[in-house]
Amino acid sequence: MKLLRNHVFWTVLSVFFACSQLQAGTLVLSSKFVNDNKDRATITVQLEVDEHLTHAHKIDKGGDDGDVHMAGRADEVRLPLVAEILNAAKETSSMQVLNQSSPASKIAVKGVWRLWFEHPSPNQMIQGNTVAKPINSNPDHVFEIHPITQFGNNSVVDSFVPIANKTTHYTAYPAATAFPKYEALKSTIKNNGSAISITSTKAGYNYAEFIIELAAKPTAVSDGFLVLAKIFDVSDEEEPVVSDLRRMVFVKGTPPSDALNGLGKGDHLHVMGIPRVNLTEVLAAAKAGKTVNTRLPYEMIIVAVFPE
Amino acid sequence: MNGLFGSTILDVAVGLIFVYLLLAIICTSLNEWIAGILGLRAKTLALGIRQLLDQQPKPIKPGDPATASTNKDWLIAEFYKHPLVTGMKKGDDHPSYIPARTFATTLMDIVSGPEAQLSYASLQAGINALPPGDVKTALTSLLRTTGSTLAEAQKSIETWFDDSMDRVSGWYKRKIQLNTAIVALLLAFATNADTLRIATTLWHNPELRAEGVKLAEERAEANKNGSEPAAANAPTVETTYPDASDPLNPKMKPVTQAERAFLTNLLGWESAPDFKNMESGKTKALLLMLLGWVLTGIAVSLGAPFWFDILNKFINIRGSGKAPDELPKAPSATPIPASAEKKA
Repeated sequence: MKLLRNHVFWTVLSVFFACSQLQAGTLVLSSKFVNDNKDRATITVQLEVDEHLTHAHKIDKGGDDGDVHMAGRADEVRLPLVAEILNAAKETSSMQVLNQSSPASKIAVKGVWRLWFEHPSPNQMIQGNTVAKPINSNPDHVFEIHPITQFGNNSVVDSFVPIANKTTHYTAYPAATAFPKYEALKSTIKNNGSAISITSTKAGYNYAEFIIELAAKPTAVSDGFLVLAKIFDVSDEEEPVVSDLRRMVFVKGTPPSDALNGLGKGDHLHVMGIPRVNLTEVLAAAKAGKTVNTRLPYEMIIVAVFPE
Repeated sequence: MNGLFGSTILDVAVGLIFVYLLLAIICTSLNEWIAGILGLRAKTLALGIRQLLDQQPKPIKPGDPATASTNKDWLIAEFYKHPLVTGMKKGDDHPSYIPARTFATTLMDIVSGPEAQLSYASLQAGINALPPGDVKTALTSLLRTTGSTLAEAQKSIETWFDDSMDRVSGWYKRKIQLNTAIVALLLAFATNADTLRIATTLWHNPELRAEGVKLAEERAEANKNGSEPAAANAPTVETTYPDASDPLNPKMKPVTQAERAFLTNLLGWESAPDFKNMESGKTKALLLMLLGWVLTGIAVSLGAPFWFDILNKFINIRGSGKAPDELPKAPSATPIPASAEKKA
């Protein structure tokens, strides 16, 4: 009997886990927001920080990524929002600003905008609707400012380096594991003129380590560089893990964008990146019809370059 | 012949429908491209806005030359000069979309006059100061039927604009339908997509027929998988970057490589009848070819969602009764998916 109860318990738990992994989220964005940000690396907001961690995550693998989370609201975004500082333990000045911030005060935050269906809400998230005050530092959200490049008066662009502390290095997902998962994500995109909705299954695999081969000279945009690249696993530089080229986003003034300087077609970089929805491709898909099904368009934010 | 279900007839039908679907997707992409080149959306919107705002002369103020009042396009000119609208233009191009809120705010701002602080009273005074014209009449009746706040007036103007844009969407849709029919016929001719020849080829070539059914099932299946948030009947599209040095301009990749290869085997001029060396029946062959193109053109112009729906129905019928030679394989002979292999 006990065995049966255990069996039922684990079955129910597995079903719940499987369902939570398949949970689809729908995000409705204003077309203007999509147009304004599609080819930008970053966004600047006045962030009202409602909830935050007081110290950085530990560094190991998976969610132990050395980030610090803060949940808040910003008029420039008007969506549930989480912002994260990379390698937060090293950014002592910014941590001090965060921990000394008073409730309802606003902090000027600049960083990489990131849409990713890692923590979708079961309800539609509609941009422009009133955003409820979050009750913890990681509420349901698909919009992030991650990584932050400027926190208050502190520049944190030097945090764009491999995640590590004195004793440990962070282990990112290998490209051969992460990219097939990104490629398998499906989405439905609807376009009604003033708004574009994206429905996607729950995504994950935040940090991936991989090698890129640039397909051309990077294109400069107002706050960074965009470049198409082939993606390889570190263990196999012969066969790309994705058959097509994918877009890479480099933020101006960060160590990865410095490493990009002077590189062109055929050059390689060993990098760590996090995926985000590619709004340029979303817009292209949205123009194909009122409702289309497609793989979830994504691009990689390059957050660190590994020394060779 | 094997019975109705899983029969050659059904497979030929699935193959043919699949060809129509792929051509319809290509046709949609071509149409979008042509509409973009011709600026059809922007032109239709410009026409709609002209219809809303023309026939409204400038208010006559003391000292203004009397001739100004005869300019019936004054309001349109002011509308397009307004910073809220110029900000939406790309160079000299007309915007292809104007939000109702922008339209209403711009119009209220122009009518109230540059000096006045925008309020319900200044809007009403501005409307009263307009000389007789279509816009004055429209705005006066809109204000009569709303409350007396600026927000209500704005809402009312937005609704007026939205209603008018519904009509404009109708014009655009009709233009696109006409374009689709023309593009579909040209596509059928250019690719020699002759329905009769395609059906005959599929009938006589079992490998090609099986390949068509397999690809059709894959495309239908991609939208059925329960783990995917796919919208029923919506076409599946893929984006790609045709120019590797231009990461800002992805384009639609309407059909996959395997689907393109399948179309290449079925379409084209290489296997067209050799009219030069034909001794008799030239006219009949030519007429049949023309009929084939017209049938394809009509079918393709029905659009991808239509053919996707039909394809799903046929795939379901095909799946509901397997032919004896298509019975499921014994478990030992069924290849284990990679994911199951890992779990095992």
